[in-house]
Amino acid sequence: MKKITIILSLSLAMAICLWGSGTWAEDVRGVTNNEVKLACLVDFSGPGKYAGPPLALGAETYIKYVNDQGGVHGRKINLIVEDNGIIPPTTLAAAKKVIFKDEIFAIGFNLGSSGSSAIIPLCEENKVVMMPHGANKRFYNPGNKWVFVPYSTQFNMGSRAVEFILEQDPKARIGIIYQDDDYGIDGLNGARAAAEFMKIKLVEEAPYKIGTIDMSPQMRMMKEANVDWILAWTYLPQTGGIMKEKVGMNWDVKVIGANTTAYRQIFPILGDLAEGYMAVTPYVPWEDTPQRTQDILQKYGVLEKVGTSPFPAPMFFGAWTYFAAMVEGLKQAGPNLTPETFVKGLEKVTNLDVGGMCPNVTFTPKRHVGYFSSLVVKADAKNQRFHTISPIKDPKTPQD
Amino acid sequence: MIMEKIIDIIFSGLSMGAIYALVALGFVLIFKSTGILNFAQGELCMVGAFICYYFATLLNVPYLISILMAIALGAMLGALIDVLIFRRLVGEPIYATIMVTIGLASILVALTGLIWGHDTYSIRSPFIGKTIVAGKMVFAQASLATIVVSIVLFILFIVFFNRSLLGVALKGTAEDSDTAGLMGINVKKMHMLAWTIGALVAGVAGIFLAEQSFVHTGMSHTGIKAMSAAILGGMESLGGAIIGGIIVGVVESFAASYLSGLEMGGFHFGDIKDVAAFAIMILVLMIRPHGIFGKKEVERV
Amino acid sequence: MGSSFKVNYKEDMALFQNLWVKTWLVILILLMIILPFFLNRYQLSILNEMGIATIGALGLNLLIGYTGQISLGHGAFVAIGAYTSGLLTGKLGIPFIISLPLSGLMAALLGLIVGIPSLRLKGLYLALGTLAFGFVIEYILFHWDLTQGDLGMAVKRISLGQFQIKTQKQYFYLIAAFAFLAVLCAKNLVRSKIGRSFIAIRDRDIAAEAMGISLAKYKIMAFGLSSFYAGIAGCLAAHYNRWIVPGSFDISLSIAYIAMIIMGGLGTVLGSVLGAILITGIPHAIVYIVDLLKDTYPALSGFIVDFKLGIFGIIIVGTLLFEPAGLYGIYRRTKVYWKTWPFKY
Repeated sequence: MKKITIILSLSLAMAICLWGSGTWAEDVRGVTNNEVKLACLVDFSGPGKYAGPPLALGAETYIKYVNDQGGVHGRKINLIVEDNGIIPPTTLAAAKKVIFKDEIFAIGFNLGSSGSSAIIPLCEENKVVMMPHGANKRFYNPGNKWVFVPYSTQFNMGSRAVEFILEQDPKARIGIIYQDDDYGIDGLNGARAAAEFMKIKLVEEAPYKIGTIDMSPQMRMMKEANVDWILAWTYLPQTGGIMKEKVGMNWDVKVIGANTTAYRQIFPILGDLAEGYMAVTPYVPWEDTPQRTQDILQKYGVLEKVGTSPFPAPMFFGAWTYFAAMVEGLKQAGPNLTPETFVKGLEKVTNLDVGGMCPNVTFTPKRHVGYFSSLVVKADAKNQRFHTISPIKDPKTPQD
Repeated sequence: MIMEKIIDIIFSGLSMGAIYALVALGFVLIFKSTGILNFAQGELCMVGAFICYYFATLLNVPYLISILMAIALGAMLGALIDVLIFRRLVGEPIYATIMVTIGLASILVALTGLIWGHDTYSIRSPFIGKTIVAGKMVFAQASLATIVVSIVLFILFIVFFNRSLLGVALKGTAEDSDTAGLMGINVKKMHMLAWTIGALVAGVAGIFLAEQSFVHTGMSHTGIKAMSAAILGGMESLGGAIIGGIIVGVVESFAASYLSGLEMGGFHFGDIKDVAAFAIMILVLMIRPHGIFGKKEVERV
Repeated sequence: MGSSFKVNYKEDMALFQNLWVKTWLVILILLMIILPFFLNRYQLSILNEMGIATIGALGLNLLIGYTGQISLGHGAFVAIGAYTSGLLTGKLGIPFIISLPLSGLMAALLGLIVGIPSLRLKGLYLALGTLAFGFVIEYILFHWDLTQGDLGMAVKRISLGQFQIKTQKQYFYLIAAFAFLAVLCAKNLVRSKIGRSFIAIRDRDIAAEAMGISLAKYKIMAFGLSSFYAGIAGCLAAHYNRWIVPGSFDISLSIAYIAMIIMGGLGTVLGSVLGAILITGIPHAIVYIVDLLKDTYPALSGFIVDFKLGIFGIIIVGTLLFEPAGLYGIYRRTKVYWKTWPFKY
């Protein structure tokens, strides 16, 4: 009997504690009169590790430029770069750390789409604007108040890829190899939508599990379906596997991939096998317009730091775009900076030109994705670079 | 057409199966002689591949020498692991040894990551991109090499265990280490030998795996799949491990060709290949817990 | 220090054996009540993770530490608890107070099913079976429309009527209460007939059966109980993080749980708690240290994963080689040392 009394009184105490400790009002987190704290979550340690250092460098150099110009509305930007390990559990830990411990105002960049999804509730709860890299249709349809994507989505690029193939060859038989997670499936859905719109059918669809390196079954399915274009919604190692398998099968098939593979890293992995590989990406290859690239780097005062031979990786520029959009939002938000005014400010960003290196970024209250357009690049194995073969263009397939 | 397709599926299944069989062979060898189920077998595979990559691609050493170096260093690593860690753990309960091997696996991945990084690399091998054309069929040389070399290795192993004094001694230790000790066999040395050979075959498997695809830290996942091959073979017999590996490889290959991408009432099969090995494992454990070739142990209180 | 002689069974069986223990207990409870007022949200969020891990680790310790059945698929049961509650509250609108026990029961049900082969399988075969089970569950969560694949699904807030749990502080009280309850239940259980049967099975199952303990009943019961705990932990984690993805419940979670109970001490309740705190704390400590050194050595953050993995591995191997009894062993030795101080024996 006595024990039950004790337990009852304890639970009562707990209940009182629970009731008593409600929310408390607080100042705007991460903003003072002369500073605003932004976070950049990139992967230094997980499967996306190769992207971490150039992303961080891009973010840091752009923020340094902004601060050298005097900041935004008298506030200097304090950038906190944190490792998110790309996968959901580590991303969650990193987001908690920057929000709770470092008390940042907004997350200007977060690498990885499933990790981004995992931290959405946390961001909503704490009114943190978050910009995910690696975005899905879900981020604009239905969309979320706190999520902005100054980028395209896999869905758009999937549509763009199919339309590009049909431009080249209206009778093309297209097969798709996709990663069976949301990254791949979003690309697949985009490709399907475009195929339906253009009144054709994807003749074969072959999924693979993330991390798989043996692509022979998928390639066998493609061969059997007798496709002449393979759409590869894959990561770098699997693209490598496909190209390798293609040569191993003595098969001259055209392969077009996603933005995740339009990086120079493909050349040391594949060597000559990379020749002719195509990819859809929103970023213009820097080598295509060396003069313009140099001018931009000069303008932001980082030419000496990053150098021109070779140019920094496209990821460098990716983070750059994100923070350019974020800074533009801060400007539009005005001097009275709160999460609410910041969202309003970001929604006013229209046709933000980031030096012509990617499509212009526009947000509206209805659409939190920056652009739907992308370009197609082709690998030149001899010079170890990509060059544009189809310019920046919106897909014709309806995207909403 | 259908015949060619099936031959093609079996061929690619065999080339993967040979790799599983090699890794499973290492499992069984170490398990039989020391009673330790080595969860770090896949990581030993990975280390072998990375060493080969280091010599062949980074240092530009001729390919054959790089392979030999990788195998030798991998085998030495196996011996070192035994001397440093597992010699002290003989007779410890199973959970303890399993956890030590899991801990060892993390250490190996961490070291590999520190030394070579977590990116994807490619081995510069003479077989890459080369094919043999037979009629309408096309075979990749790398896969063919895997199968041929594995068969040679399997034969060598069987001869070693049945004909050589050392092999018989190892077999004896595996059967009953106490009696073997009384018979004048140096049991400690035999354990070390088992680890050496286990790591050696893992290294070979790793190099083949890298040749068929790439070198990266995630390739250690193969180890867990090879475990189902070992279970299928019964954990006790070397022949069983080889056959188990081949079965797992071929089943995976068929599953990938015929089941992947199906949809059934809101359930997407996706890439079923990866889970096929585990489904086999569960089935075998449910129906015949001691594998196809294993025998039930009689236990005394 | 109170008497260490027990004169009757009632005393020996008591949950809190003497005044000392009771005093400490009261101090601990008071501390838990005051603590949130002195900690910031970040520290509280770490404590919350530790609390959830404690519940899961207790469950696994009942299975491995007390009954001697090795499971490498504990993470799968945590996942089942998380998804059950997520779906029940999200799709059917069932309140948390009902979905919590249901998610535990759902996990327990699957635990019972997995437990059945354990009657035939022993040792490493069981370990491998549960490992495969974990992979299959992950595969299903990944590919089923209901669970929404790897982008995961949103989970509702915990609400009791109009009242919603929102802040880290509130979560702390809730999770601490459940962790406390879980510890009490586990302590109660292991001193009962069931607990003693578990231990008998662990020590010598054939002998235990000869003594009249039904192996089938107790082995399956151990699986059920352990999965129930895991399910509760999963449910709390789901509502706490408010987003669940299959990737959070993979093999590495199962391994982390085993590491917790081995580090803490197998077959001890206190050990599970200590282990959960330690293993959950290590990654945070590493991030903290890297954060301190980041400005001086910028290259350091590139090696976090290797440090995390490497330290994790070294701790496990080191513990099993040099201190197999884990933290609990260290605790007991220190206690004995101070009890007999200044004499050595």
